[in-house]
Amino acid sequence: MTLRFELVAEQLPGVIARYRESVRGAEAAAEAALRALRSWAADPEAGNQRIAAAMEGTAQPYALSAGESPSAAFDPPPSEPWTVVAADGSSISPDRFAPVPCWVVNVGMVALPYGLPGEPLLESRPTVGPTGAGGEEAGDDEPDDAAPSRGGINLLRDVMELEAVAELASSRVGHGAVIALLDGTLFPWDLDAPQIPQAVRDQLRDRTARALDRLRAAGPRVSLGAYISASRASDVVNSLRAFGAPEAEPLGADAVLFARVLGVGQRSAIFRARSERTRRVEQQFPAHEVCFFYLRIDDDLARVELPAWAAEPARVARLHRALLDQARHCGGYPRALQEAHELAVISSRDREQFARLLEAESARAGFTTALAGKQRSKRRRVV
Amino acid sequence: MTAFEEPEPLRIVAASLRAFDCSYPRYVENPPPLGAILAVREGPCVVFGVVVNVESGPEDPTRPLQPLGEPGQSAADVMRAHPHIRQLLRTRVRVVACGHATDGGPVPLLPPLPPPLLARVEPATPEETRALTAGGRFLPLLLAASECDDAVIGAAIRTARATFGDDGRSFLVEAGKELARLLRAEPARLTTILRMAV
Repeated sequence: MTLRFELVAEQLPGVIARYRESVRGAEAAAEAALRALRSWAADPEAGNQRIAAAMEGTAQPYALSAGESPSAAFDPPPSEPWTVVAADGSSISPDRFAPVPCWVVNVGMVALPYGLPGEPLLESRPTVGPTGAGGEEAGDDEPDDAAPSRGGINLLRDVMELEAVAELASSRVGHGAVIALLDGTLFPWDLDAPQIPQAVRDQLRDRTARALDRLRAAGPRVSLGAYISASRASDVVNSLRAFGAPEAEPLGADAVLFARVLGVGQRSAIFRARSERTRRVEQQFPAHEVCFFYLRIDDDLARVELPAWAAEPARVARLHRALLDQARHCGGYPRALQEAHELAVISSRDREQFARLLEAESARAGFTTALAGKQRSKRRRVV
Repeated sequence: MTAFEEPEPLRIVAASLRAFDCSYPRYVENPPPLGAILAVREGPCVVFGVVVNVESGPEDPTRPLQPLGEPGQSAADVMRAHPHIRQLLRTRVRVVACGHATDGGPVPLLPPLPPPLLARVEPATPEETRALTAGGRFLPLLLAASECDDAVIGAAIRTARATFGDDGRSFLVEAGKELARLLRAEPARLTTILRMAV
């Protein structure tokens, strides 16, 4: 039986009504949050101290001013010639029914030169593992122990995306400015996930550090941004509550606040991200403190994360303008990230084909597994 | 660069005895034109064919091309402003077989086997074209192919004539005689093709 939409539809109005109730206080909360933001802007450093003291020991993420006025809104600068590079990934986790434990990470890689030399690149790069020591992609620290773990594969995929962007940025920076884009957060957050073996996390932390170091070493012509569309983060709202505006709480997300602060195409001030988890992950990368700003693209409030070393005015200005240009003809989402996603995605058909290929190759090597009942039942689908 | 002045080769992506489909790995502006005579030099024999259609469009049919571009921008301007587009498009060429060559010169007969998939497709040389088309010998296969309408046959005759240099008029007279023989029951069609061939 498929989803019974007649039953689904009659339940939806209730859900929507309950949501409306929950956001009824948003207007007053937004006004309170705006007042608090302007008050913070009057003395950002004093505000930072007050917020940090109030948030000490809490688990909630919060934000501190990184030098720009917290209530500021910045217009985009003019476009320049640059190359936009991006990577996105998709993966197949090991299937416990498979005769041989095996995973796939497929990374879509894009380089699009705008007014600069170099050929456009749209390419996908699949890696099948465990690759064994000395794997071509990973060197000697391939996290083969991650094979049985879905979380380990997700973390590996995040790291490989970052490595791909670092590789692309390094290879294109000789032609001029590079805008390097990632989808999601700057750091692979599963680096502190306890369900992933420590040895695997250590290996992937080292690879992450090397990729970030490589991006930094590429010099001031590289702008780096990790893009989160329709962000639900609440770091700034949490800071405002700590600053003395508890009535800001119903806002829920920073995006609701910055929708009032930012005009279309404007970016917010740059903030430093703070939280217990940020601290745990960030302390592994002392040279790459996470900052972020919000960017309004039409109705979308995107959060853009970047390392502190990339938060220089010229780099941020290029990143700001490039993101707007990229999103202009791509439904409000950066073109390079969209194409990287298209290249990376592994369809359900691809997944089935991979499972059969793995079975066939395993059988040729003498590894066969009797299909488990559930698996056999799913494949036959008879009445 | 290939003979079509494109940096990447045209390759066969589907093939039968009577026709084959070719594709570039991206969008190109200078593919072989209608009526061009092509050769595939891989496999057990050289296969010759005539271009009956050229089309360009998205590789993924679920992602149609949007009419991007500002007023006043040319297609080249738009391509420069959106460098991803060319990579996501494909130019495809449909070719009808009109002869093959094994040990000797070209003969206007169907090949014994289709050309190999992914084989490179190149223009036939002027010598090959003259040998294949002299006396209008290649016309029966083309007239028998449902995909070869009058415009294709007229274009193929013009292509062949250009390789004969000063003897082009003689070639045209002989091809016209062969057409008259083949189309004696269709005088109106004969007239149409002859008008398109000169």
